[in-house]
Amino acid sequence: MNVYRLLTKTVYRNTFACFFALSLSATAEAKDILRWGADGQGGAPHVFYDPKNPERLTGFEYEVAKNIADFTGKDLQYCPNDYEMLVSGLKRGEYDILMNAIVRNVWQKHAKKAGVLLSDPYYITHLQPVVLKNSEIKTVSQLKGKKIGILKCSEHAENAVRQLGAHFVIYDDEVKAYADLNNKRLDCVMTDHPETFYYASVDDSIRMLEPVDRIEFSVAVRDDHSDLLKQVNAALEHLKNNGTLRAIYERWGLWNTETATYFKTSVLPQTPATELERYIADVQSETENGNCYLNSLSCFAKAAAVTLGISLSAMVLALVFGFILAVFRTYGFRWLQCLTATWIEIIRGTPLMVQLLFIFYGLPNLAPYLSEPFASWVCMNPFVAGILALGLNYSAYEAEIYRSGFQSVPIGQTEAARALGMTHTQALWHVVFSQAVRTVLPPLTNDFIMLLQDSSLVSLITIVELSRTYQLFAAANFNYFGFGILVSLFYLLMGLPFTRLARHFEKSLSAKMQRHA
Amino acid sequence: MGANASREAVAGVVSTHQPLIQVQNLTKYYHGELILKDISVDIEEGDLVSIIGPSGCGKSTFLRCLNGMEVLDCGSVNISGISLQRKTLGAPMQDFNTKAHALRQQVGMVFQTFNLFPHKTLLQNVMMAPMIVQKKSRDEAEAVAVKFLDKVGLKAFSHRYPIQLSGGQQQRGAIARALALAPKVMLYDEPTSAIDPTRVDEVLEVMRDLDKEGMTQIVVTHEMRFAKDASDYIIYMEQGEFVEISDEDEIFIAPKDERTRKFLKKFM
Ligand SMILES: Nc1ncnc2c1ncn2[C@@H]1O[C@H](COP(=O)(O)OP(=O)(O)O)[C@@H](O)[C@H]1O
Ligand SMILES: [Mg+2]
Repeated sequence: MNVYRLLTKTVYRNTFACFFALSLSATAEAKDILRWGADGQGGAPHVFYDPKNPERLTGFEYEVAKNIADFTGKDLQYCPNDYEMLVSGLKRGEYDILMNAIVRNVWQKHAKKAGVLLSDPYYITHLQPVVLKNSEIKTVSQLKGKKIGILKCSEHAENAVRQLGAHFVIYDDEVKAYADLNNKRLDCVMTDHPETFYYASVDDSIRMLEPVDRIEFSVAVRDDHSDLLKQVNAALEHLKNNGTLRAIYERWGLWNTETATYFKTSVLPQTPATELERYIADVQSETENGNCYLNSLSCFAKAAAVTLGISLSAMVLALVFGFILAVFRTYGFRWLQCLTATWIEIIRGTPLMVQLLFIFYGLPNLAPYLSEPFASWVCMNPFVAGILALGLNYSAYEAEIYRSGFQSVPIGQTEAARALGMTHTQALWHVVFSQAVRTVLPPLTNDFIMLLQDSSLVSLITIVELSRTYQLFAAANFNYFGFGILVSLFYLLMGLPFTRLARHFEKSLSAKMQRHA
Repeated sequence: MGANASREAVAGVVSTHQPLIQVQNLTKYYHGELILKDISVDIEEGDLVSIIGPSGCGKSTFLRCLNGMEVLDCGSVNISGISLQRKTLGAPMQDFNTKAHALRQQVGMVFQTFNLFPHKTLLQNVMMAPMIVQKKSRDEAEAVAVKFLDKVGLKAFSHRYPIQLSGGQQQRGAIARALALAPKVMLYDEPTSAIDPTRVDEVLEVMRDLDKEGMTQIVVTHEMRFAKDASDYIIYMEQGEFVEISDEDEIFIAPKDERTRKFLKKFM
């Protein structure tokens, strides 16, 4: 699966917003657009990119969303987000509706706390356990005490596994889960039927057991959008009655007894499962030739630009802010020294990932208690949040590098400067800092190379950068190996100039040191 | 002019004449330990004074109190009208920083380890203070720098970095750097101790020349020969006190104090 123009468009738009407009608010509501949040990563048959025609987003939920948008007279805009962040993204106002295998039975319980409203079901299915074809397990009852792979954020699957008396192992996407089933690390994989069914259609080494549980899929909206919920329900009712939903499910080969019973219609399909057949044919042809790599290149290149842009901006922030921290920490008043030392320890003592999620999803919780413009400042656009988190985190490390640089300048240098009538500030600026620069350049450059890699974490806050693109392509193509090598090459190539630069700084520094000795 | 002469000048009835440097009851503690004990001395313009004494007796501390690099705990230092003063022990001092800053522009200081700025050429080292402190233009500062580098015989080495110079050259450069601010007084803290013995004389020569031109200089030194030949008078210091202030001949031939005699015996 290849160059996703839709995805790229999002990347471009976001990049533009970030680097040129720097708008702090991502919540501006465009009038005629219905923003729809979903996770397209390995999302067949829910939401994914057409393997043959990379410009086209597809999937049965995509079609349902499109029809809902049409019914409400709006244009559909796809907002990709990580599956576990889907509800947070909805709450933050990144999109208006969330429709992506949201299990009504589970979310009904959490709806109040999560601040979401759920629509009537649009599709009904079940959990589908699968085992290897040659497995001794023939029925669900034999799963007791076994290891079952399930997907992240599927509370219903967790409950089902518990009821079976088995243990669950949680996976990011089904490709990894099936890999472990093949490796015999798992005895069974259990996901929602549509996903299992599609995977099984291209992998003949697995066998399905009987269905478990009943799952209803609903659309979610924010709890202050009850009008929108009414529109969605009206749309679903209309699409149900005029046969649109049924036709969609039939084309995707997903028309089943549960949904038919709920719709009060016949379970016998009227339309051939054209989309399912096309999917099978596409996946098989794509994996047979190496086209998928070539086609992915421009997408990877654009993602690399995003990674580089974020990393460079974050590094500039880290360099400037780290310098200020180091000056306060070394030369500030006693209380300022304590304050910065504490700050640096807090930043260095907590994971970057936590800081990132805190800034992006945590801070907006303060908005109701703040007045403008602070209220909109805490709801940062993903790029601003990403750059801020990376920059703040690295500034603490750079501060310590600067500080050791300052301390490496002998005290006699400052004394000589002061004896020459310079003020403290002049002595620091002209003598200490300008000498420290030389010692700190190599470690600072090395840190940038680390930052480049840590920037992959911003994929957690809806940004489609290099590592995220890797996951997208790998999951869609069932290929973590080939794309893994490709993405590594991109990271290596981007880091190379900086590695060389650091080496150069190191050399010229050690040459100076030798002359000093 | 000797110490006695300057004493008379202070005690003199008629004169409104003030010695260039007046130190009265200077007291300095480090962490509760008395380092300078109630030191008083006057030094006249144009004098070259050597301070000798065992290591750790407070010679460096005395010099550093003179240019305000250390905060004195009691007493006063007055150089050319600028005065750092504390009437009683630990009494509050107004504008110490401002005064010390003004003072340092009148007082040049040269260190044992030269402390040239390694990231600048010799010329840039000398130009720096005139530009940053006196706000001279680049051209003016360069003219001044070249003049003083020429004076210490380093004009040809202007564009070298400190590491490319010998110890003696670096120290002469440091002297030129201090002179570029046109100070009234030069302080030297063991200026030749870190220099290859064969290069010591070139530094002492510069100091002798400055003496001839009438520069007031205070030199902490272990070079007894220099102290004897070049000084107007010599101060022997021990345990934070000025034990003896004598003419260069007296102190070497007939020290007044037993402690001086003991110290000098090691050098004879
Ligand atoms: N910054 C300082 N803190 C504490 N004690 C100091 C400091 N500087 C010097 N001293 C002490 O003051 C005494 C005099 O030191 P110093 O003036 O350097 O002696 P000298 O230059 O005669 O060798 C010594 O005992 C030394 O240990
Ligand atoms: Mg000393």
